[in-house]
Amino acid sequence: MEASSAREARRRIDFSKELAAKGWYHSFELPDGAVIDGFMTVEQQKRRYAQFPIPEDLRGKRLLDIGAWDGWFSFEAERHGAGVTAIDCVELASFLDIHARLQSKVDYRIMDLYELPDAGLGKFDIVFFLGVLYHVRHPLLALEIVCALTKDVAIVDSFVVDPDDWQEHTGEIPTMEFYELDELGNQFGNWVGPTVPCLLAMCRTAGFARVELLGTGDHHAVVACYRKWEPAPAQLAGDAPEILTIENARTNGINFSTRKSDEYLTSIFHTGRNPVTPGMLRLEVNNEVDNFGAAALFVSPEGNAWRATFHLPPGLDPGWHTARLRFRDSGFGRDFKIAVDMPPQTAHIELKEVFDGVSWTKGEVQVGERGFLSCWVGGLPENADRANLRAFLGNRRLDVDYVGEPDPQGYRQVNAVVPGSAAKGEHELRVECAGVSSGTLPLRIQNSSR
Amino acid sequence: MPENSTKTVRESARGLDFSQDLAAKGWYHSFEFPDGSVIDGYMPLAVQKERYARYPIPADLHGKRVLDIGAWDGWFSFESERHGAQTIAIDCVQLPTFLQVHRRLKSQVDYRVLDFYELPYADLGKFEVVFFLGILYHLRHPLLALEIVCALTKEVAIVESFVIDADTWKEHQNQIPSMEFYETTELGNQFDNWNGPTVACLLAMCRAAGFARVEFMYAAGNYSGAACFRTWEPPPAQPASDPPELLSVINTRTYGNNFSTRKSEEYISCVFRTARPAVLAKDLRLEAGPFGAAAVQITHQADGVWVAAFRLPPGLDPGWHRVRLRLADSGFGREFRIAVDMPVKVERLAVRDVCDGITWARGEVPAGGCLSCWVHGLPENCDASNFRLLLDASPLHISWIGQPEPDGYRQVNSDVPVDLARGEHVFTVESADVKSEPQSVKVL
Repeated sequence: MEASSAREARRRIDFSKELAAKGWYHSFELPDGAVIDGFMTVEQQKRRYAQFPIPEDLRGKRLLDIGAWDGWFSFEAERHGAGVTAIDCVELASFLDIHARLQSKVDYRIMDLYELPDAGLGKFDIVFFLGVLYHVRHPLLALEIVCALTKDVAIVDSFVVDPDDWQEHTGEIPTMEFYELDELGNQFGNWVGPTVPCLLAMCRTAGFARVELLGTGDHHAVVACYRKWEPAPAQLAGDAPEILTIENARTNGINFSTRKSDEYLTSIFHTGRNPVTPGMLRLEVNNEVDNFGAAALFVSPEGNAWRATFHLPPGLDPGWHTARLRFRDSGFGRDFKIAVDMPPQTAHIELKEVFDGVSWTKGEVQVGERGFLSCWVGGLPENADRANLRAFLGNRRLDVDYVGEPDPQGYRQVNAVVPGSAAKGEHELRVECAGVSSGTLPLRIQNSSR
Repeated sequence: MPENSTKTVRESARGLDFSQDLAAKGWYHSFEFPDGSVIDGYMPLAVQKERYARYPIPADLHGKRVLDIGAWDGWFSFESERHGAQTIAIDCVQLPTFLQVHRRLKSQVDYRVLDFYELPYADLGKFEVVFFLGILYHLRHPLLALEIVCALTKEVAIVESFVIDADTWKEHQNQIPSMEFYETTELGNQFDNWNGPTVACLLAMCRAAGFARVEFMYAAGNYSGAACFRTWEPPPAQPASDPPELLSVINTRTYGNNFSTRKSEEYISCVFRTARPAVLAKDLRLEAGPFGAAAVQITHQADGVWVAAFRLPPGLDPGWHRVRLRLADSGFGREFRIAVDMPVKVERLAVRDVCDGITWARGEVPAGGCLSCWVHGLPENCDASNFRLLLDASPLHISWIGQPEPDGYRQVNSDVPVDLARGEHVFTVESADVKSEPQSVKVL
């Protein structure tokens, strides 16, 4: 009974007849006084636009309107001075009509949402993603794509199943309905109906630093999704986190791939604060151009330090970036460099010398349960790390656990672990990176005297 | 009361945490080796065998290719190899346990480390059988994942997933399918669980991904399994009714006969005639190339003429594919062809006999009338969306494209807008950046 009434309620969310009668979804007031009376009123449109936390003056800003339909929001942003790109999956005559009548400069393009990342449009200060999310088959992927295209803020407006009573079940696990056919509004092409908490959770998971609910009503929820942290407070607390490392959670290296579906940064740091919660932390990844925040997913104690894990912010350009971490009310700890989508490259690798990592005896390593070797390597690419630098004892791959900074001659210390099962006696050591191998050095494995 | 019940739900989801049991055993799968030795993993051997026995796949897999996605310690890969299959196993990290068993069995299983979403670009080819066991809920984009699995499957994919209502799903079959979304560690205290579908949602997603038939296998504990078939059951030996008469097959987006596998939503629209008084979506069996497709929408137009839409089956190779339609109890009727991911190739375009489509008067046409012409050099896969008729710069709406005549020319009909300026215009045909010689047409 209850289930079938929910089904009926979803079916009734069908405005196709009103829309067909009007012919237009958006309404327009044109400069010559002409009025187009669409399904949505101009007042409703203006009220929605006024709700968006974006500047009044958009001159110098690039704005992307995804799924522009008749285009009111595109043209309104243009009227505020923005350089606007509007995309839709089909070309609408109504959009072109208004475009011609307004002599608009809005760049109108027809493409599939999933084609956006490869369309070469660049990034946008502001992205409108209004009433599109529930029409896409892969909502979280869509939000990741939106996030990667956004520099400041994305406005995400979606159908939700619980706009009026969501606060009554905020303790529940977020859910979304899946519409295989025309269950929602009798229309094929509606795929998901999230709850308000599910919409917010997906926006956060997509990689935005901050997600704020602007309002709900009329089957919709509107969310502002920010790429950057709020400005630091004027009076900073003195104790910035003392950062031991910021690295790739998957590889423990400094290289990151934007093509991996789940790529995380992890940081280990000391602090006098206890406990440390995710909400206290502000990670920032920046290059010369963009500056993106990332929220901590979880924080746990690790020895006498803390470990926090963050999404790699989507949309990072290939190249070097700086990653740094602060508390909400402190300055930043030390900077770490990370390499994004940079293939390591080198022409020649020189393995200079190898020592026991504990006793510093040259050419031999004492191995008990395990042993440690340190070697000095020249010619390594700048983004060599624990994952892309491989060390081999004969045919056996060793676990590289440290790659140091270059010394004045350009040699870098590389430490690796020799397992206790390695045969005692003479071996050959070599290292490999970016498809280039060094020559070999003899290395004697000896039983630990201890 | 709501708060309390909420808390219980959250806690029971967290309670599905077997990480400690797993860590104690060291292995997820159990193994029995030819020499009699045994590895005792988290999952008992008997359970593995019971699961495998449920899969609707032949006992003899010789000549079949099997893909095991997320193989973990690899029991299902090695079991399919034991049945004669040529197996590729993939995982997102390289597991020493898999390699150890691989060595001990002297296995030929091809083990590769790939991100799931890299699969479509890994050039692995297609597989008669795909195992997608316990992976779906670990992925951020479940429907995309099932589309990828579907595109790699030639016969059947076995999809097993965590579900949230294995024991109660029959009690709410009328509800709209839904899934839980796990932002962090809500499920089993593990970070990499993303969604928990209901049984109905799992089945709906498998169908929406593009499989022709999805058969429920079981739901128990926290798991459910479905067998997802790419082809229809064989047509009846004794058809009970006449085949539907297929009248047209077009792309719903472009109205043409070209289809792109790169569009996220690409549908085939079929117009057909049948004497049967009522037709439901579930009565229809479309076949596009080697794959079946189920109808997602059907409407009665008039007098026994129906329109049905079908999702373009994922994984069609580039080229021409046969499209045909039958009813559950009929044979197939007339066949059409569609072009999938085929570039438009044109060398030279020639036009003759530009005329009024009603009076056949040469070189003139009334505004608001129909312009006919015969065009040579159009590509075989030309449709109204990949070539244009232009009067000066105005594209005309193409209403009909005929089959090539013996001399290779094809008749093309188009509509001339009512508001086009009267007088001489330059008429050209354009496709793939090739233009015909301009000629003059008078609009009356």
